[in-house]
Amino acid sequence: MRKGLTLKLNRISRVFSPGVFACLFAALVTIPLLFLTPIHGLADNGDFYRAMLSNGIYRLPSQHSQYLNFVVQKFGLMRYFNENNVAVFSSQSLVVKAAVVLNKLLYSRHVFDLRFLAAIYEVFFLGAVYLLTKSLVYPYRRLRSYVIAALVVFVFADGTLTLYFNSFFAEPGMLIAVMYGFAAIMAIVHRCYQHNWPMVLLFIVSTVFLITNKQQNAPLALSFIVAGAGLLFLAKSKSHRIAILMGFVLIVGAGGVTYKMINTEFSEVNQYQALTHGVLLETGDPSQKIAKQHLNEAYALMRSENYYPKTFTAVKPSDSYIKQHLLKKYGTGWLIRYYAAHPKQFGQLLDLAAKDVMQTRVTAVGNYARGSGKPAGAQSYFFTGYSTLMTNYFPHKYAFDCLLALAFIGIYSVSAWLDLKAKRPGGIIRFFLITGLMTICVFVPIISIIGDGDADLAKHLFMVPVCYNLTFLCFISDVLNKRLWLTGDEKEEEDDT
Amino acid sequence: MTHKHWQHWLLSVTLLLSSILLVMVPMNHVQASVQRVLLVYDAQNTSARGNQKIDILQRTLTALNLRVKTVAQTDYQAGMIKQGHYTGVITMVNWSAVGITNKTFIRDRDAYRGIKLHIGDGLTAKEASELGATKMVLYQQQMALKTAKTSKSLPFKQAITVLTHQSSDAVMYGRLVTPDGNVDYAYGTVNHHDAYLPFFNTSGIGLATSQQLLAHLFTKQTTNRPLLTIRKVTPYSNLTRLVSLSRYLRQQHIPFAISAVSVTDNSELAAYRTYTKALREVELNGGVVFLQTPQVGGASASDGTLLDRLMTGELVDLANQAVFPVGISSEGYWNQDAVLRKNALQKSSSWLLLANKTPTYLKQDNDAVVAQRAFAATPLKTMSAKMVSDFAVPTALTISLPTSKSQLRHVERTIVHAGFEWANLQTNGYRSTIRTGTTELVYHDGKYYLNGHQQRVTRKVASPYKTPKPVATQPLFKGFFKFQGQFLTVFFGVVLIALVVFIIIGRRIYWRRLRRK
Repeated sequence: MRKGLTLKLNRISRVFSPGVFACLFAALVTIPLLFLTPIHGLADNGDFYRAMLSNGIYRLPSQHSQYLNFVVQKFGLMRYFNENNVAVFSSQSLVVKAAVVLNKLLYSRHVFDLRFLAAIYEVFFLGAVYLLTKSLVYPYRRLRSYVIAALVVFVFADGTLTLYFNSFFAEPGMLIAVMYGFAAIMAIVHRCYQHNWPMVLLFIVSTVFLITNKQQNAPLALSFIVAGAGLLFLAKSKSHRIAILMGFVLIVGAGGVTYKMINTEFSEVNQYQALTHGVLLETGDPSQKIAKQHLNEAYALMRSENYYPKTFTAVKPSDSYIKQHLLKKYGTGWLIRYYAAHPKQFGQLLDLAAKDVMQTRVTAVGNYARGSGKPAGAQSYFFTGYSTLMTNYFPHKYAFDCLLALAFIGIYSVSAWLDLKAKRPGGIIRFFLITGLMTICVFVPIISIIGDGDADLAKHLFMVPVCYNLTFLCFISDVLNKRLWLTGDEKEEEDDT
Repeated sequence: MTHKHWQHWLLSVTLLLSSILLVMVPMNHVQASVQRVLLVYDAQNTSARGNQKIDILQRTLTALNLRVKTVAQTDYQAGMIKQGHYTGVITMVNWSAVGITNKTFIRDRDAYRGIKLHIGDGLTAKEASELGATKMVLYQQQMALKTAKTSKSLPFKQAITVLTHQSSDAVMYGRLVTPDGNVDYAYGTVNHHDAYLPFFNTSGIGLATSQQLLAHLFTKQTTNRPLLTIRKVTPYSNLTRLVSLSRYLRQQHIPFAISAVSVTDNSELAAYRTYTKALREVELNGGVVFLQTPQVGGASASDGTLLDRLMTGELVDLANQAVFPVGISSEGYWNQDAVLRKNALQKSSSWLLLANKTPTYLKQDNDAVVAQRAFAATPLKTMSAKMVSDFAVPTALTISLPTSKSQLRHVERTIVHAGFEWANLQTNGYRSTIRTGTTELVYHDGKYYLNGHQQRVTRKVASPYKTPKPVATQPLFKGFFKFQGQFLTVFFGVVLIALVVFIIIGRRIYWRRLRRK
């Protein structure tokens, strides 16, 4: 019976490789959710204009509110001169522009259907799922490879992630780019392709896209340099090494440019909220504490205030007096010194961040379109098992996150050491990749707290659950394929392409 | 039921009824008997500051105890004048290129027999005849506005309509004089029920003269000393300067008011006590506090209840710290908005209406109401006792709180040099009431009453707050997650140590085997 099952599986595997299986499974899960009307997605929280206006998309007039509660499917396309400046420098613009072109070719020159944007993301997403699955299971086509493929879909086609596709948020680009970047390096580790350079190029391109996708990604350039550092062990000649180093320079440059392009208003928002949603939180009475750091104690009264007040406020932070007497009095250096003097408070804030670390659901906005029969702000729970599981059961302690990162780095350092001695690059590349991802998981909460306090934490931490998920999948696939400690003992089997 | 039970029962019912009455009875129960005025304008014309003219006119009318309904001419519907039972109709032309074009309004206005005032260009022949005068247009004129006390040059005007051959009954306010002084015309004219102002100024002598005309026209003639008001007092201001200024004013025997913002949350913090300590110093130095309404952020029309709660919280927190506001101050547009007015302004019988900066309406109705006492604010720097000693309208002359020592000296000099006899709210029977929730703050003859009991302001007050605990963020399942987090942290720690130990042991065994070979 077992023999019969193996035979059947062999026959199936000739037609459907694990990669193709994952791809079809992901398509099956996501296409009805995103493309069949009434569509599912994420409603506008007020940020959509950044991606819309500069790309010639505007809101069609409506008697209903177009914010927060319901997903809006149709937008207008500007016909004449677009006077709007680019609100935010972002590679997301490329995707939106491509969607507009596709929309004009296939649908309308005046009305934009949001599904064209989702379609662009979907195509790249399915490609990422395929490459990721292949890079994790190659060269095996056993039952366990299909289990891994199913896990990839279970984790990455989770509704809370794919709902982003039907929105003007930048997160889908980040998700897909990091999947490609990770898969490219793992494809090199598991020698999926004869030539490595296309994968090296894919890693660099996807990383640059990711870094320039959103301003908060600028510091991640350093983590991705760590993640890709193992590629230097791959270089057989000096010219190869220089080419890879040039790629790294490009990544760092992208980070620098993205950082420089952050406009003054965004900097002020972040700086203000770093105080009101960071320094002033998780402490008894911050009045004396900030006074000791030479900041007027009165500003303690701004605790939990937003830069853009939701309803009413005593004094708006954009007031020239506040700019002059508060925002000019402190910066990142002051914040670091403050937290260095109050490590306990910082630890509590990090634990606060750790509570949101696996949270990928955007609860502030609705997932359904108006007319779907769902109430305002209703959330979709279709295929969200993984995110629900992780949100509820992943420990809410920052110390745990650090230990987990240390554990993964420790585990992968064994194979790195063995491969270093055996002069095989695979284990070393994998070790640097995991280390890079773990630095994101450890440092992003720190950067978020220092940079913007606990404001918009779930969105700032978006990369953390994605990096954890990639690492978990890598670990599970390595355990199942018995190559956690050694990378060079695979028996060459037929390619699953 | 025993006699004692009856007593208890009656007492409970009386208390309940009085509480209900306290909450239900609006501050402005006088509204029904108040005269109503319809203000119709052609355009806002913001580039020529027409919106500011509308704002100060609305605030002036409110300060004159007149309910003003403001309508753009495009929104005017036939019969509105008749249906509104208005005492007067004011026509305001802000943009001569537009002017009043709504024929329905012109027809209704012509048929109206009450008080009529025309401000700006576009005076019709009918209006001129009602004024008992002939209109004449002067082109390209540089004129000066002259009153009994002072004269002020006006900006060059392309065209200005003046009245000639006026009736002997006409009362004139100010003179428009050509530079050579040979020709002069009336600035403001009142002829029985009809009046005319060729233009409207938002400050200075022009405003004061217009206000005199308005007070005469609506028979509200009183003389008012100006109320010195320190603006921009917030918890984030330089409180040392505030206290210094208040001490200086006390030494100079100058009564004054401050328009101070407070906070809704975080009143348990030390910084709040520092702020209220400074406000108590102001009270002890003869100043009175007007609580300034908060700034409107992303609020919507449905946030009325929140605003009500917020204002109540602010007033109660201040009262707990022995800071007793005598009124509410806000930008003028709060009186033109149903939600803002109802949930903030109308808590008080005394208002201080500041100039609009950037109005954010929640439910604009332009249907202003009145308070028992409302002060229309105007900057002190635009007025002096040499121009006008007493005002026709209750007026607050405002000056910003200084931010530096040199500015403090400058402000002190400005106040003294202005030379006014300042209004003193501690005397002359001034009375104000603020009702919010179940709290009633009364200020009468310089004494503060909280729910009927007189209160003394002292430098120090016992804090009703205990040291706050850190903010609780997730009460639900908190214990479980804390335990789970700690358990897994320990578990992973142990596993990590075990792993390292096993690696070391394994390595030794490996080397030992190699050595044997």
